[in-house]
Amino acid sequence: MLGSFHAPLLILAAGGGEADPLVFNADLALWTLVIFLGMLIVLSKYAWKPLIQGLNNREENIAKKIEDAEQAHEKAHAHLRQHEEQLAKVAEEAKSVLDEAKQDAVALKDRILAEAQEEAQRIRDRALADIEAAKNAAVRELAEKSVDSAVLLAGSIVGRSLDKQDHDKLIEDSINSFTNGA
Amino acid sequence: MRSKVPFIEDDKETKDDPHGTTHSDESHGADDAVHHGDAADHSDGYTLQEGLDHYMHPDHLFGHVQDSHYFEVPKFISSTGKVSIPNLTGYTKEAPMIPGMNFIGRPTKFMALELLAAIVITVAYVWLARKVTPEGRAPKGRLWNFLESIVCFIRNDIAVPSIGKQDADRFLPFLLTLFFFIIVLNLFGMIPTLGGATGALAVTAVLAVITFVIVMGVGIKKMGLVGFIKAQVPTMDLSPALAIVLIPAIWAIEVFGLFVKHFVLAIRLFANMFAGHLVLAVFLGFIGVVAASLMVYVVGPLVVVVAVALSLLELFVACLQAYVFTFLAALFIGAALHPH
Repeated sequence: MLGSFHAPLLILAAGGGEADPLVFNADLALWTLVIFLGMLIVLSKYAWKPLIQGLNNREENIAKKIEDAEQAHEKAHAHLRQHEEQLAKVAEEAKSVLDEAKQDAVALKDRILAEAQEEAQRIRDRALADIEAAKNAAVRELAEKSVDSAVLLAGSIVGRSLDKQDHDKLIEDSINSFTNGA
Repeated sequence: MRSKVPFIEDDKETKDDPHGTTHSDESHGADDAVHHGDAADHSDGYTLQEGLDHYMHPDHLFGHVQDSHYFEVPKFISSTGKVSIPNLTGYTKEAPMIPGMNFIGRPTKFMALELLAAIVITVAYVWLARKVTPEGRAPKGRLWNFLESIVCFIRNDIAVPSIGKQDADRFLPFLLTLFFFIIVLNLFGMIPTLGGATGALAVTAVLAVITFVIVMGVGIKKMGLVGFIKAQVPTMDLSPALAIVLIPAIWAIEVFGLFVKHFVLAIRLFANMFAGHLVLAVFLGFIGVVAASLMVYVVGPLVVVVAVALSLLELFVACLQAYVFTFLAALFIGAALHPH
């Protein structure tokens, strides 16, 4: 029956006593079955299922977090690159602005210099012209005065006053001879 | 048809002279489970030959390793060296619960240990599960991480490689229960006064039968009864004449192999645990053999050293065999799911 029995093929020499390593205790087997199935049911419901669920969730969470971190890293990297590009552009711009300013300054300097030189030239020219004119005027005045004096003198010498017409003719001649002689 | 008592009855022994105090200290310290009250009572008077006859007798040696109605304890706890398990069912040899049958007998040590193992595992893992669920936040503390890492190990290194990722979680509850039940029972065997329940064929056989039923169930559910029976033969290109001879032969071998695989599963665990404890019992028995002579001062320390070394080996074997049983169960399930 179901009592303790030997698996007939398995009996080893056990010394003939009651001790038998291959004894099969049906009670113990039944008890083991009950305990094991009981454990399987209780543990599956209250331990393994929530535990596996938790592990899966954790795995998902971690995977998601890693992915998020990678995305964030990627984004940060892109930002960095963008910023670097911007910075480089700005630096270039600044350089070009500076160059332009330099060029402008040089141009301005050249222009101002040229204008100043021109102005100076003009002032000199005018001054020369003025001097020339003044000199001419002075010469003319001197000549006129000399003629007048000479005529006056001559008149008194001649004793007769030259009329106005003679006077003018004389002045004209003397000036001409004076200018020509000069 | 009760042929034999499944374990050594203690009725006679517990009535014996309770003054047995002569066991050597070494065997006390090394492994109390190897005490045998009956022997200790007389070891004073044993000659070497008598000692050999007594301590090296299979009845004595197996008595320490097999199931019993009592826990073996140091003699300062109980003068007989035994603490009996209450006979809750009221069973006696003369008046079994069901007349004519030795079924539902007295509760035994291994039954108590199985119950204890079930309670320990359930408490530990239900507790852990409450700490982990539901968002899967990690438990804090060494113990919880340790307990969880075993689950992860069974899952990632046993279930997934053997069964496949998509099916592994379906069988994980069975594999986890199996692994923890076996390893806890194995390790109980290393604790003095307790015993190795996995050293009983009834225990390992039931575990193997459950595995077998699951493997069959998986295969039949997957391929149908006929499909599963057919799937036992690998597909081969054979001429019809050859096929008619070979295919039934191969089928028979494969089916036989299927049974043998699970049978060996039970035997492997049982034999490993039983033999390990038996070897320990033999070595510690040497102390009893020479207890009356001066040789005990040489043999005693030597035996203690050997017993410690063997116990360490046993600790390893306890873990290894739990792993092997679970791994093979997973492999068999995997093979039934994905034949050839």
